[in-house]
Amino acid sequence: MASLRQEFLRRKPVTAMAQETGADTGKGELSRSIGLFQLAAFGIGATIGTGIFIVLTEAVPIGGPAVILSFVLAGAVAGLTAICYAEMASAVPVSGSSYSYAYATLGEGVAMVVAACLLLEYGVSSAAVAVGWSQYLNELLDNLFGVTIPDSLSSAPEQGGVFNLPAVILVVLCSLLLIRGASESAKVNTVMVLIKVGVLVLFIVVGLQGWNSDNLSDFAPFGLTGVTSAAGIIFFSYIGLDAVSTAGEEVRNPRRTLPLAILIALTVVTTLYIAVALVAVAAQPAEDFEGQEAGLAAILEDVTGSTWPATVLAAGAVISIFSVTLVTLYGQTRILFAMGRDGMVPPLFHRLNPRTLTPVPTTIIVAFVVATLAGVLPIDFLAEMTSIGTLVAFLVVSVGVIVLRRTAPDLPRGFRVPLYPLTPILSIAGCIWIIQDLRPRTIYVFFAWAAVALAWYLLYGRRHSELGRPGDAEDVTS
Amino acid sequence: MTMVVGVSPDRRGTAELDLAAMLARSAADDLILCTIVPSPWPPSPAKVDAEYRAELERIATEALEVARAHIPADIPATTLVRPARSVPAGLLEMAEEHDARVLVVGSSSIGAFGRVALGSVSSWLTEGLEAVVGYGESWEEALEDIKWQDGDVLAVGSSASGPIARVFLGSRASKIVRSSPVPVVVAPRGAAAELAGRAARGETRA
Repeated sequence: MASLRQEFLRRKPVTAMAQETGADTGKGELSRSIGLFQLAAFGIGATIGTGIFIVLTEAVPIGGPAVILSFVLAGAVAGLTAICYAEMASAVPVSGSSYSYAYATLGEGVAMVVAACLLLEYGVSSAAVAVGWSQYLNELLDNLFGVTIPDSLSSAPEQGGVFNLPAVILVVLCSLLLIRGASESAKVNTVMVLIKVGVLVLFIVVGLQGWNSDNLSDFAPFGLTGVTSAAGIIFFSYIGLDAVSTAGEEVRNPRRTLPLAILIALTVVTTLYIAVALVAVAAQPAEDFEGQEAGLAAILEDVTGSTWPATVLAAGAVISIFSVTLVTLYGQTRILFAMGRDGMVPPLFHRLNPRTLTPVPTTIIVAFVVATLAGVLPIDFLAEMTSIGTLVAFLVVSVGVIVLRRTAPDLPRGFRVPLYPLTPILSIAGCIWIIQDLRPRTIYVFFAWAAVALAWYLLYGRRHSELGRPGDAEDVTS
Repeated sequence: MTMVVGVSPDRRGTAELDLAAMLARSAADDLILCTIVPSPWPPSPAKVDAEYRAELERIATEALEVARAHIPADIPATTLVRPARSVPAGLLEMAEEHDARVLVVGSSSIGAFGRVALGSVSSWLTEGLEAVVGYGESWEEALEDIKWQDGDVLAVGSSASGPIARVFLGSRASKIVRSSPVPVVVAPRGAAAELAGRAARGETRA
């Protein structure tokens, strides 16, 4: 019988992962076909639009016009973590998420905590995005037909409502598509990205009319703390950049291409975000952001005095946020699938429908939980929980880079971080800096959540771990 | 020449394999046994779903092994797992890529026993076709009237002159197909004529 310490620290051998995914049979091999431009474009598409439509309303009251600096800070930390993520992904090339990387490098217990973070990064962010969608839908309905869904049915109890019905409906719709085995063609995906970029450019161009330098005069009313606190919320809008990191296997000359692609994507995205933020903070006083629903559309309406630009923006947001919700829900169900296979969650989570080959029970459970969160929790709390989850997951990955360099220096890595150990150390420091300025409530809830995950591990995971089954360990390493 | 056989990953039934083996033997064709799995989604090189995809690959490979074992060893057959956005789309892509002249799919399990039922896959594949067989008050009677023998198939030709992807089946033809007690070959006109010719020469009798 293994001791708790041994169980907590047992790592999934990289060779076992390779066997399971068929990478060593040649079937899992992917041709290196992606170039720099393609990868950067993919990173931009995956990052833009997850949060920018909703974060300003929450971030500006905390940071003032200095949120522009928050974007730079959040972007820099996102870039550093993405580079560390790339090394981990290339060392454990057959697995899909930071949960698996942690399992292979830092042990089962840490992997469970990372999994708890990923439930925030994917599950809770689906809820946050769905609430944002509901705001833009209401704006669109109002502008087009003059009807709005009453507050009681479109906002969380904390904001005076009862239940956010549109957000719940969105989650249910997306889940039905996922159960059916929906997929989106590359073409549709490109169109979605173009819509997102298009409406943001529209916002910048039209919103410039409302430029008033007076609004910028009190630039940083809450000082540096305000900037970092806001960066914590804004980090949410950089989720997706890590998708570039996991593409290492398919990238030509990854050592040069990966960091450059991350840098290019980051520069483009940050520039666009800063332009949006600058136009927004110059258009209205910082206090006006507080509680503003469908923020970007509302600003356009105030600035122009006409409704059409706001309507176009809201329509773009409604369409593109729908696809973002699908993507994050999909990610959540597939991460739980991997955990189910490892025995960290009940086997139900890796059951596939034999006909559609989709994880139907997982999708239903995820839909139920996410819909409930989206229905009753306010967006600022959901966004902050997403940010802290993502930051801690990245923090662990950055630590993992250092640990793995020490424990397995000879492990082949397709990509190594430049300027080691400076890069992972800066990445770790950046994450901690942003985390510690989040609201105390967010941090407490996060610790409670991590404790729940650990308790789950002690009571369930360590006893059901596939790795702990007698005989298996010998099989996979032979 | 090749025939593409859609192998369902749930490994229910072997009718399509029997039919494919019979057709392949009579026409001296190669078989490509193909299982379609959902394609990576969203379409991106990111791979949060790596473990899920590996499992799909495993399930499909296993189904194909079973299917291959069911086909007599002397019939040349290769197996292939293909990711696609939908099963029909994937099968049609396969058929086009390999210049297949026949695409064999199983009948849905929801039909009356002993009758062909078009599942979601097969009805998508076979919309809008023009019928070639049958006399009687109803299609069902007409088909019952025929003295079917072991190894017989019902060949229905499409009026479309396009490639295999352009085969469509209308309400009349779909009634015929549903009433058929034997496997149905739905084919573009050229291929249907060829099959009928072979049948006339007695080649399709196993």
